[in-house]
Amino acid sequence: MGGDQNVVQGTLSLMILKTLETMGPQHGYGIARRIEQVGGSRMTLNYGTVYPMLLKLEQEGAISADWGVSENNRRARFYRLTAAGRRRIARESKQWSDAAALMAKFLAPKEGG
Amino acid sequence: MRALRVLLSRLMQSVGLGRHRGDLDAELESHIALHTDDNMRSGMSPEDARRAALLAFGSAQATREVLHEQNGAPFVGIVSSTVRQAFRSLVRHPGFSVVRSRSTSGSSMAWDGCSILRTCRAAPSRNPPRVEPSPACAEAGQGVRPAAVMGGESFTRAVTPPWSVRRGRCRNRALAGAPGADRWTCGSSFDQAADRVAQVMCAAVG
Repeated sequence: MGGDQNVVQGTLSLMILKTLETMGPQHGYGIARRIEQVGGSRMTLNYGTVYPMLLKLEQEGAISADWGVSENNRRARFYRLTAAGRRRIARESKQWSDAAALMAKFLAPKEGG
Repeated sequence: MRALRVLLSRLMQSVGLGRHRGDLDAELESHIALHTDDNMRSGMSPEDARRAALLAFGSAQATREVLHEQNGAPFVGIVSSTVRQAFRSLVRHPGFSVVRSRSTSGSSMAWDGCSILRTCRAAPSRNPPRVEPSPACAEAGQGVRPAAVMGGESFTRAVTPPWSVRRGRCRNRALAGAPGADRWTCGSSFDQAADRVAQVMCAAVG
């Protein structure tokens, strides 16, 4: 991951989980494409970096996977969220919101300034 | 909890119950194929489409290595190979009990680094065999002492800490102070050198 904007380390897992929540079961390529589309020009993604994170999430039990057939009739491994993954999204989303709200307070223009 | 789950998953993989290497590689190939299809639909030639897909993926080899590393439990391989080695020694050097050699000097990591544990067929013994340090060993402030004797039973406990194996540099330095190890240079493998040390120790004790 790189480009003009460095994405804070540790965000890729939440991006993947959120993508699966939004789009339903997806293969690795679909997930990577979706993340890139949402990030737009503010982020570039080496697709290869997605797979170690998918494996990690699978080992942690946040997602599960099975081989299936894609819309192009290609064999692909489809990932889906588990209950633990949904709980993790809720927890990490809240942490991000809290952190962003805190930073917003610091970055806001000074009162009376 | 999460770490425990990862550990369990990696252990399962290492005993053949998880994803195997071919499965991981097939997934990466599938990714390239899907991206190539997309590129071709947007008007690229098959060669250009595949090239662009490979470029967008980044280093496939590096990803593969990371996945394989992440998927397995390397310490299981190390321990199992050391246990195999210990059993081979058991067959080759019958006649005395379990001897664990290690540094008696806290200042040196040499023996701790290799922690060879050689197992020989058990011979009932109340007195642990004593192995005198070699002159070079004594000079370096190291000694050799048996740490465990299991009288009358075959006992195998083999430990080779990963760091002694992973070190790219002269691995046999860990054996430098061992009796009989002086003629073994960095050129010989760790196992060969460890075997030699075990032989000398067996001879000294037996």
